[in-house]
Amino acid sequence: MIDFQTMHSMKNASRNSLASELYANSLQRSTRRHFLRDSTLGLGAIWMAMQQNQASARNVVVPQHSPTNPLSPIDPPLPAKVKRVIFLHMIGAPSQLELFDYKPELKRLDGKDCPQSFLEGKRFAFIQGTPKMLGPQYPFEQHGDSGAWVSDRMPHLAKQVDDICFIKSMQTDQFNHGPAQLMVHTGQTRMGNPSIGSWVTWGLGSENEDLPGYMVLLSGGRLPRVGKALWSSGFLPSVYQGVQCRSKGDPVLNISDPQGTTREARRAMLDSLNRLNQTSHETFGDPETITRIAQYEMAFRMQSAVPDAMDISKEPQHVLDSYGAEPGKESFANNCLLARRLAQQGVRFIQLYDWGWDSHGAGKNEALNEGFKDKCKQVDQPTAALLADLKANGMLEDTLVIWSGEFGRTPMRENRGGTEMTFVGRDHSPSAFTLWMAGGGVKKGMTYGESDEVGYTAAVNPVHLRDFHATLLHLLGFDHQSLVYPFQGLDQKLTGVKPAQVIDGILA
Amino acid sequence: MEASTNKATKVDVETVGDHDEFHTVGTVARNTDITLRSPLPDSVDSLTAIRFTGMPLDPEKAISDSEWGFVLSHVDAKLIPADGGEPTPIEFADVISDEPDPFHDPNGSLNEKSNHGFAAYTRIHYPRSAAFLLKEPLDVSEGSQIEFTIKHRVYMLSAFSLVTRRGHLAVSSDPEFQALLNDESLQAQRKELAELKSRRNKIESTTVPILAERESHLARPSHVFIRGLFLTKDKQVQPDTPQSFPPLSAGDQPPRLALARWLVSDENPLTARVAVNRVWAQLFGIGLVATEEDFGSSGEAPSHPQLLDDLALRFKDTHQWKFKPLIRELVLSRTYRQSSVVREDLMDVDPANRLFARGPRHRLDAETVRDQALAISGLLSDEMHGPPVHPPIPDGVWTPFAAWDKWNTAKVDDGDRYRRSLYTYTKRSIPFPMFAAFDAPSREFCTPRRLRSNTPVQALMTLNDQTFAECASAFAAHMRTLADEPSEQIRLGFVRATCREPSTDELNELVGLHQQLGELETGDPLSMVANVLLNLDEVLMK
Repeated sequence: MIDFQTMHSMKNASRNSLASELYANSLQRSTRRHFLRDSTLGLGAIWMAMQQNQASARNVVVPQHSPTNPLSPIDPPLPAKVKRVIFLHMIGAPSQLELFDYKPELKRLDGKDCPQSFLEGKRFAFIQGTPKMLGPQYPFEQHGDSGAWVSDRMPHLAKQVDDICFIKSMQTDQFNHGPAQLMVHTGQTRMGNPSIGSWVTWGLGSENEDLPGYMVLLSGGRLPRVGKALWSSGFLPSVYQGVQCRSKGDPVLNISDPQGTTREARRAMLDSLNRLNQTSHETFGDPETITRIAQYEMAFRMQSAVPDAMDISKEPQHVLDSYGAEPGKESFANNCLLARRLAQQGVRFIQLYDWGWDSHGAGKNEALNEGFKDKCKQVDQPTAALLADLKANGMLEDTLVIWSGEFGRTPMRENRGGTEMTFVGRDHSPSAFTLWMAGGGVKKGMTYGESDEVGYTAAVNPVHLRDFHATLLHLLGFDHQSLVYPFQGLDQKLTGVKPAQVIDGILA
Repeated sequence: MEASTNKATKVDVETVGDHDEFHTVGTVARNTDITLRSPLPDSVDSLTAIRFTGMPLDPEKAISDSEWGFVLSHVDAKLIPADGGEPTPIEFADVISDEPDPFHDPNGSLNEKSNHGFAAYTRIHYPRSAAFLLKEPLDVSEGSQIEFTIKHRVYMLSAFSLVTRRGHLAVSSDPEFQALLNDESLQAQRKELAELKSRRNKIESTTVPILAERESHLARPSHVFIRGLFLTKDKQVQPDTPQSFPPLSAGDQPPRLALARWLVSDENPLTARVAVNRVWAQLFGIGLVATEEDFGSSGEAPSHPQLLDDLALRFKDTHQWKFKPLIRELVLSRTYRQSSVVREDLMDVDPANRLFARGPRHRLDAETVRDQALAISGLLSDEMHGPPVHPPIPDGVWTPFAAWDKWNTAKVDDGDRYRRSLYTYTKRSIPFPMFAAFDAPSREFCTPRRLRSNTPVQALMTLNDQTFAECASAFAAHMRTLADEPSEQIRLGFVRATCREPSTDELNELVGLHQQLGELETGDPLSMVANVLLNLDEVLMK
């Protein structure tokens, strides 16, 4: 920041010069909040603006990436326990009452009419009239030294509970999938805001110059309802958006050269292109051109690094077996193994989405007594293998693994249309759900918070998604109040405008 | 009055003022029938009409926040004698509702085959009523009751049942109703109306609905939304301008006309300033006010305030709000026509060119990058108008939630494959990959200003994407028609792509590349040279 005296003397020295005054004025303005929005990204201008340390007065963190690489790795402003994140999102919202949140009282109430006090003032997606209570559909047991309750649907994961921190009192504002998923990943309910991964790669850059810093892996056969808005960079520059990896076609869009263009030919073309662009730079002196040359070079390196990182057939058979991974398939198991490979290579934020957890019971596939069993089978072993693998590699120390849905499910049985349905299911419930984390910075073998006796609302130590976001940023070395980006007249934050708190109780 | 239902929906009856009112309790089940049973007032000895009033569950709150409405799919009514004898079915001849032009014909409530009828469709914010006129007046003996059943068969989005949440009944013994049914002049007028409507329907016209203001007594009150959330309301407000602006002219009614006049009035400098600033930003890459979207206190002050005002006044007065002369004036200005070479001494002083000491140089917008590649290669279709088009999209990208939403890629011989980007089909949850890579907004927010980034994903797009590969081949084919010698083909291609002659070094570089690629014996060397030309910094930048 230009201090007042410097500017004052500068103004005096060139009082008569209009250009100087404009310059002084522009400096004065660049000390305001708009320096960032006004600059083109990855360009000297932004770097210059950052050097002016414009925002110190407001206790705002502005990530200072290298002038030519907007993803250059930088240290967080505060001590960090976690270097990278693997987020496993079960799209559709898995039932906490069939997996982790054991409710004997609900068992007792099974089949009874739901008390009116549960229904008043509530909105449901599908429940109508007076539904019946639905007891846990699977037996629970305590596991590990920590004695965590896990149902018999997750036998592999049950062996890892002593590394896991369960939060059973999660809450969100939203009871429909789209807005609720956005709430988990962007902190807001409407599309257009940056996702966690975008905030994090903006804040920290990437440790690998040959791979994107934020990668997204999908399984379950369908895209989440709000689609790419979940890994959008929102109002942050698009270089921070999640790069979707695919199991069919190119692993990353356009990573393959067009037919007939060999690597050798591509190299020759890029060499020529770079020399011509170098000439342009000499002519025009525009630093943006230098950035462009760097981006084309990174693209070239990505073309070999991405397929290489994505090729799980290189893993030994016993590793493939431990995950239940089969090269060439689209599966959550493959994606878990990929997540470990990408984490190993320094990818900052790895986001997995697994579709198919919306257990309403309106059809066989989405019934707690049918399709839900298959979904559990698909994720149990790979999730457990991922934790074990990271631990064996020493990576669980500075990697954070998060497992969650977008909300919970009701202790009432869904009665779509006000009638009993053929299959068993539960409706959406935003007031209590279970999320777990494992890895750097969080306590191991812990259960934090409690839902009420039927698992309907958070009763002890409620944790809103905003608190979860604040905690996540804290673990990565950021104060959630300081990592802000000015947009639409507001200092935008992942945690939004409402107060959020770091969950001290779970910090190791 | 007593109320009951055939489903899980619970109903209660309470006395409100001079009448009994039913209302639902808790959630409502789909396809609920509500049966109301009520003794008739002693004063009624003959029944001619029944009035049904449907209301929001919370009438006061609904004025601001409407509730899901209702549809009376069918109505059944009976007269039950005091002695408990056989009930008499009540036959209705007509339904008169409180809307002059209802979305569905209220008489549908009398038609067993139709699920529609008298309705608050799909939302309700104030009480709605309809009179059900009996075919013939019905004699009523003392102590009889009526049973009135409303059947709901309509629900929205597979979840929201359009069931009446609250309501009451009234009866009449006025013979005027039947007189109305038999009124010949009314029947003649209705017949004429029907004829005119049928003639009107034959005139081809737009089906786009036009918003009309509600009658003032039905107007929705407007409130300040706390933190912008429509569910948290602060004080009620009236249509007006913010205090820091000149007021609306009081004489103009309705207020929307006043707003239109206010926008372009001499007292309001903002409209013209914002407009010229946008044009300036389009041409120069950054506005005189850099925050194009925000001229308020959180926006940035103009870099050249006097210039902005001068341009704004000329736009309003001299050019009479016409953009063409404004654009002409700007592009012919000395400022715009400057060289875009960065002067080293100014690089430190003004890296972002806010003082406009050089001409504009910035990366083209997403749509322009694609359109330009199509234009250079000769593929661009200049067809205008019509429905959106589906150019090639990489396999596996188009996976919409709704299975009916198909992406049928236009074939190679179909001009729609190469239309201007403006015509590309847009879906917010699956943005077109090329646009997303080049910073086009995904349209969730109004985005007057785009950030420009420079990423490897962009490089992969313009190097490898199918459309760009097709552009390279077509460009090469076009170059071949321009000359016989490869070096001449390349020279003319360079001119076409950059609008200038290549230097000797530049031409040698490309001819050398062409030769090298030929020796590699991979694909078509000229197409690869074309690919390089389309990726030149000079081509991607303005």
